[in-house]
Amino acid sequence: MSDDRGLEALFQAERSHDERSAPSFAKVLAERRAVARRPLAPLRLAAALAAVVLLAVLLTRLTKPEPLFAFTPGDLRVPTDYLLDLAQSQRAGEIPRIGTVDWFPLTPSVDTRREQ
Amino acid sequence: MRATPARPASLTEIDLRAELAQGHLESHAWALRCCRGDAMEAEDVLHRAYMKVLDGEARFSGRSSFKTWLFGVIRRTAREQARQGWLRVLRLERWWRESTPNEEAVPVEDERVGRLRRALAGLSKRQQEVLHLVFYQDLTIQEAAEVLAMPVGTARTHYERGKERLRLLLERPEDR
Repeated sequence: MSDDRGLEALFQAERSHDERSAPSFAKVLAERRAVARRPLAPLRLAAALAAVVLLAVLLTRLTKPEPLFAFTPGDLRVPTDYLLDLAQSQRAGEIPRIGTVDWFPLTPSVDTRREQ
Repeated sequence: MRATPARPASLTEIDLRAELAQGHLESHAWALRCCRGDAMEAEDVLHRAYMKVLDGEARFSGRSSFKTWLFGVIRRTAREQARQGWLRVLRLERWWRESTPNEEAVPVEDERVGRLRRALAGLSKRQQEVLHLVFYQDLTIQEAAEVLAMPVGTARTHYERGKERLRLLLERPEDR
């Protein structure tokens, strides 16, 4: 088609024009080498290190064993234990008198239990 | 240059380099088209596309010709780059380059070339791409469809309508 030939001629003219102004293949590859040789940017390096440290901290936190609380009979003393000790106290039958100095405090309950 | 026929995918880096060098001018013209005629953007896109090919990020499977495959890589790279924000930095750099004296001699644009480019600007992007691939790059409509990742029928429609509109625009007297 003659119209198509006219268009082809125009595009060929454009092509010839572009060929004169196109950068060489070697120039494009030279840019490639320049990029490949560029050292790792300090900012990137710092970001990578920070990420590694953060990951390490997270991992140690996640893998840290939970504290294990084992209660065995005799180890745990609750605040009301002294009431039980009162019954075994030598002074259980005594009537406390105001002004008596050595009536209070009671003897430590732990010792009495351990002795049993 | 006609598109080279499909060949096995086992291309060494030397083969790849030779193929890229052989079709460099056409690739540059295509990159220029994908970047709306911006020479600096086109050069950067081409550089990145070559890197993808040589570093193995984009692998030639041999299902199409090397040229159509490479053009697809260039087109995708241009689209990726257009999405990235640092393109604005490139534009600033371009402005800086334009404002400083250019050492490289730019050939004076042929009057016919200028007319063609102004007329092409009046077409849709797809029509421009299809016409460029067929008339400038000597690809068939089917190959153009492969590059643009569209059905052949769609490419043919863009080709016919684009051609018709381009003729109209070329025949219309220009306002001076």
